[in-house]
Amino acid sequence: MSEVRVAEQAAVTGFEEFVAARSTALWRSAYLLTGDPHRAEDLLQTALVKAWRRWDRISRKEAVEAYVRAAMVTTYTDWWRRRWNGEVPTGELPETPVAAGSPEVRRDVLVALAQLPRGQRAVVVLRFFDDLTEAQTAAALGVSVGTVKSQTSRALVTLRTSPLFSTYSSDGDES
Amino acid sequence: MTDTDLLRGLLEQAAPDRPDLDAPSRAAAVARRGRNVRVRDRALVAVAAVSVVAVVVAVRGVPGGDDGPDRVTPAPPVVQAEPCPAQPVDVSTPMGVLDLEDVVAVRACPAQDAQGDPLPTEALVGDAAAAFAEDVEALPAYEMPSQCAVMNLAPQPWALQVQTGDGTTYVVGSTLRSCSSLAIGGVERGDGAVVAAFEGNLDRQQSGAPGPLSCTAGEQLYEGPRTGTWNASFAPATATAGIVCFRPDPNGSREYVRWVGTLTDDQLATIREDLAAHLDSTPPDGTCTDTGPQRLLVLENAEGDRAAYIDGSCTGTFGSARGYWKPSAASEDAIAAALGGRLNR
Repeated sequence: MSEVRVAEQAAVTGFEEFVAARSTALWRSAYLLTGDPHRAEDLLQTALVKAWRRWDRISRKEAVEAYVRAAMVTTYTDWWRRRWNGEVPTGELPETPVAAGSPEVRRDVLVALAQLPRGQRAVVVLRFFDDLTEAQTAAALGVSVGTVKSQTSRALVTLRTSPLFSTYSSDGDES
Repeated sequence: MTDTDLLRGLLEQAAPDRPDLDAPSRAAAVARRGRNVRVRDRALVAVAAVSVVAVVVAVRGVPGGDDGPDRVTPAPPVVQAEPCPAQPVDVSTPMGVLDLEDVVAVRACPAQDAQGDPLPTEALVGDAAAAFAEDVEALPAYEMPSQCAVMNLAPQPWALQVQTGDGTTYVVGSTLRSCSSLAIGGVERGDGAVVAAFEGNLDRQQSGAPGPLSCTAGEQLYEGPRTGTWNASFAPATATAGIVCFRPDPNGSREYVRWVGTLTDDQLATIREDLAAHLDSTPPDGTCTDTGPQRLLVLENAEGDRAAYIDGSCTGTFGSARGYWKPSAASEDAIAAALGGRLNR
């Protein structure tokens, strides 16, 4: 086998391994961004396509997840400008309901997140679900750390005044 | 508990544990979308180049030029396969000069006096349409097999509507699917091979990434792999993996220990070299009834592209979309070794 073919095979294998290892976690983030499993799949696939096309040029494989996450959130925040772009996720999505877990919590969280502008929603997901630092969040969104701080602050103000916090805080006795 | 701790917990609960789509399906879907995007981008570059020329001409034609457009934003060209003609296509007359330049979509359309199984109605678009054109252009010049001289052929009209990047459509078709040819790109191509190229690429477009190499479950080996691996543009020299399958002659004796075997690197290298050097367009002389022993070789390259080579004519020659191959003694030994060795010799 030539070195070129070995490299090509390694690239294909590397991408599939990455998808197998990390795409569920990324999809969960996409779900919190979009609030819809199909749009989450589309958003994730859109970001993965960008990584797939650059796979041989992403020199540090440990940076792939950061790359995909950044592509995902910037695509998400960009969608409002371009509206829905008409892409549909492929791969025969089954018509099964989202896995049951906490349907009430899910509903209430999605309602609360829907009140946030997209930039703030992305910051909330990156900071408090993906556990990124402010600097990592800023890098993913392509904004300054100051912007991340201010958007985080505004998002928390909005969420604190929403029924979400009052319902599920320890005082609310439903958590 | 702080507000942010509460928020972390709620987000964790709100996100479903797992998506509906499994990772392999997602990886395959992403690769498919990536290829489509690549084709779209190529077209966009072409459109942009035309637009730049148009803008330059326009600016030069307007004194001052300050009122010209400040941005060229061509709409992304989305390939939309044109519908079939309103009436069934007459394919009984010569089609004229055909080529497959800049193909962006291909769909089967009803032909006049259609008989036999209709072709699928879904269109090939983007990469899959380009791959169809590539496959047809890679078909060897057609040579009529000797058995055609003694066959009574029933008409099976078929028509494919080919669409090019500028929106032009034309029809490729014929009244027969075997023992007949039509000129495409200045070369006579077998009718059946053109239809098979359409069906094969449609199969690949629908199925995405193929599963592991395997033999068909049925007794007729050629029935399983024909569509998805009927792949004229596959270059044997690029094969990186292979499998060989065997079905004995039900009226005869077994020839190999096993019915399926994966080629080792050495066996693959032997077969690859022989096949690449000795694949030609000359069909073998003679044939046999369909009860003879069958052998099937399926090769795969690093991109997941596959091609099938079938020996079912009692001649010891493997046929494929790209031509015919009579294995050398070393290749026969490699096949036998992959199948666990020979019996009754």
